[in-house]
Amino acid sequence: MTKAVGRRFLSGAGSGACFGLGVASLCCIALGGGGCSQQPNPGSVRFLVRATPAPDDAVLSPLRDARVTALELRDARTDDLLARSRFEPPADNGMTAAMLPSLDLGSIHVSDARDLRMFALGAAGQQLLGLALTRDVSWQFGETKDVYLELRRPLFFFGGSPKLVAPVAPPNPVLSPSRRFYEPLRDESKLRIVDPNSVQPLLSIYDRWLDPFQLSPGVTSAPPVSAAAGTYDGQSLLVGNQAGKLHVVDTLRLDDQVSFDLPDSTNNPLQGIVVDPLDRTAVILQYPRTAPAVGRAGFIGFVRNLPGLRSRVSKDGELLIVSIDSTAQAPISQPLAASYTPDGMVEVVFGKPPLQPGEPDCTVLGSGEPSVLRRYNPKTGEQISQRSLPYTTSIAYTLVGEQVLVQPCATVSGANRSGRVVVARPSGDKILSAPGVLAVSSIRSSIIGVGRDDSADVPTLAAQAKIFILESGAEKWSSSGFDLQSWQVPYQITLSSDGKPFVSSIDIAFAPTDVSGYGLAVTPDRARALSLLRVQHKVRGLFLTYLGATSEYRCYIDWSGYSYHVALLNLQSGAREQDYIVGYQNQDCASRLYDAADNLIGTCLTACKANDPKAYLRGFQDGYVPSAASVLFGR
Amino acid sequence: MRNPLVAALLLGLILGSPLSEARTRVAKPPVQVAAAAPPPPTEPTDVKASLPVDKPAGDGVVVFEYRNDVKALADLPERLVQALSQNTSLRVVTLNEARRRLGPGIDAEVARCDGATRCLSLVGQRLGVREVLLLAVSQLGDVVLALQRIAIAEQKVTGRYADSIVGGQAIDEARILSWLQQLYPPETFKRYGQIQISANIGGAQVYVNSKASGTTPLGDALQVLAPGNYRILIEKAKFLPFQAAVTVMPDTTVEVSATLVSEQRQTPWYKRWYVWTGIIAGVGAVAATAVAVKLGTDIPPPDTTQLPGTIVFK
Repeated sequence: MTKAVGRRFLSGAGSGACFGLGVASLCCIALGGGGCSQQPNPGSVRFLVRATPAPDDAVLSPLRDARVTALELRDARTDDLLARSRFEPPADNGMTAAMLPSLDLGSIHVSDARDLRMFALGAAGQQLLGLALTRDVSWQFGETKDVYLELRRPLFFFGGSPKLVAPVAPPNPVLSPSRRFYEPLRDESKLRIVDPNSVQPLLSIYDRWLDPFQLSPGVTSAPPVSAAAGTYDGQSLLVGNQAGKLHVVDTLRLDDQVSFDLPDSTNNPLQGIVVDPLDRTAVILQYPRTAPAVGRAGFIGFVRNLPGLRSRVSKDGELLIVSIDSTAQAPISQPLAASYTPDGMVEVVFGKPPLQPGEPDCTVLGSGEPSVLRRYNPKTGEQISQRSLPYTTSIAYTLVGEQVLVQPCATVSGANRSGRVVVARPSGDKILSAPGVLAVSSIRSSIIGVGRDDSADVPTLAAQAKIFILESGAEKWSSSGFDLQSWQVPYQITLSSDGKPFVSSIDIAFAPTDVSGYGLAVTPDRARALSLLRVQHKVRGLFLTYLGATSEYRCYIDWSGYSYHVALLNLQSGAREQDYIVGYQNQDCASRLYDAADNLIGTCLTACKANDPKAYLRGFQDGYVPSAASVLFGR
Repeated sequence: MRNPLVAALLLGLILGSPLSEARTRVAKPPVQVAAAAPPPPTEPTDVKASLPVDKPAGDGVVVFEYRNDVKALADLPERLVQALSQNTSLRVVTLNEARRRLGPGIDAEVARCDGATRCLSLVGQRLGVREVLLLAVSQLGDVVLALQRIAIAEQKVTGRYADSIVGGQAIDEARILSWLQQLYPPETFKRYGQIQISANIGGAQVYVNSKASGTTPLGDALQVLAPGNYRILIEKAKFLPFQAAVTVMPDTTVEVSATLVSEQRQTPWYKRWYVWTGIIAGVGAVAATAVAVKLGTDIPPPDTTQLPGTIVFK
């Protein structure tokens, strides 16, 4: 029933009925026709909620979450509350959400076209356990309207990288390279699913292999996921892998829905995906870790028909590829990061990738070619403008249209360490010290980053990671620090009589000395963040042991390397809730042997000896570099 | 393979070649027609309703299974049916539907076909479908699957795909979908819904997303890509236009029933003869009554800013 029908009731039916009834009808004349008018049918609006069905609903559906106590409907832009209802999840007796009775919302105001959000909220009304976004819906008086809402959990995702292959250690090593690997996350080839609101956040049974292959009989593997981005309506996840395929994962059951090949992905692997906040288009970034000074620096791909790709109308989403070529006259680096601007254009930052052994070494990155910011039209691929920037690794826009740039090699006056975030405001640029921050996320009008504290290098002081939050219009960060795990190296591993090592041993703990937050995803309610961190552990002249018949020699080691962490952070308390170490990468390893007169007489640790084939600690690496931090309903 | 004859027989069994027809002394392998999940329940509404689309039988496919004493992957036919139903525009005939139409003897009938294309085509023809999808399962160390598309009209195999699976390995939905993607063209994986539009007057122009889509009465439902949001405009001169926005989900029909109201004004009440007659006859007495009635039955004007809302779980 439409507005037109409603008007008929108001204007026609009342008077017609009155005059046909003789004297009694005359009352209606006196009453102006209003008193006897038939009440018009107000119509109704039904909000049809769809969530993951059985058997996956127990884990994936917010409607099966016993903590959900209320459902709210809000305007997605203004956050105005439109309706709210108490909600009681189905009992755990085989009942599904689809069997639940309808919830009466009472009367709700008519609505012109708006983007509508549904929130499934926890007991305190603060915990966001499920979310849905439906765009451009309206309901009017007299209309009978069905509005579909796809309710999902605000899940995190992350991927891996080509496996870091560990060298074979000798049977009785003096030092074993690492201890605190998080074994459930050892496989680098899976798309990992994380529920930020669960006490068991790793939803391992839903981890996905994309393009799986048989590594050996009975052993399946897949090309690691290198980039991912959730759509803002929460219904799809775009995932790119090292096989050069872009997949669309349906979040209802986390099924791989469709995929297509990207160009020249062997030389230019997919490294980043950015989705238009209106879910109409997407941008993909392909580039090699190291690019030649003259030649191909990468590709920018514009998925111009994202709805078509998701509904399988278009095989490749009308992908438009723009080659990025560096020349002697116009040098340019890799397309590192991108963001949609408030007017629907795309800004891409070009620069050297920061995650390489020894970097970010700002003597290299900060003093080399400056970064470049280019503006593109995502529908045509046309480059609209270009300007130079100090070395920049990330770009974002807030809801109020502020441009946010992350420049890890620029130092703010008065700060001990390099690293800053520049927020372009109408009143002028706001420049904030943000050491260790390589990536930021903006949720509505706030800006979030993860880096480290600003303390200068002190041998006795471990670096602390730090959460930076800039509230809307604020002049300073709100921040809080958290500790990170040391790199634990088992020392003097002793064997039992049967040749097996004892479980317990003494560890050398290499404390964190620097932190780089290079990947970040934040839940849409800004309650939690998934942060990818590279933590440096560096030590010089560590006394290891006495040697010689009379202990006349002293052995010291130098060691530095990275551990790669996936951290789950609580942005309300500032606490680190989980810290999974998934990769180790030795950067340098050396030993020095001194005599009693403090003369350097050689080396003392074959495991770190240069050019020694048994130097299993030198260049030791294991696990993988986590990547593709992403979230549904946001970034 | 040490025995080439055995290998040939097995291959024939898998691919449905004439060799398999010659294997008369071998016990018939158990054959079944795949079952599919029942259609989702529908909720009729008075004006717009999402109903399952009755896909044309001409696009239908029936899934037959030919299993050579292999216990593994017993649920595969059902999962194939599910994957076809969920990911393609094909109408999939389920086990129950096939038995209902042809009787419970259909299982034995398909078994007697022994994988022969012509025989299976004849069974499929009686079901009124366009294709048979034959799943052959055998085991040679690994479980070997062969899928064949059999075009019933031509009685020939139009597509084959085989895959081997390590014993005990779980098959995920993505892998099943990849098999189907090897067999069917990309167009098959487009999904559709329908919009059934009716109106109280004829000759009104119908627009769907600003595209002219005929005049009322429209014969058939409009087939549209799904899921998708569509804006419907129905207009005719001298009538108020009808507008609606609908969301069409795959394999459902959204019914839109439009009532166009004439713009022509009715004769004003004060020009009607019986009004003045009535007024002249009893205006005094009635006026007094009317005042009393008004005081007693004053009904406020309707609040057109609100309407009832409900949350429904699907």
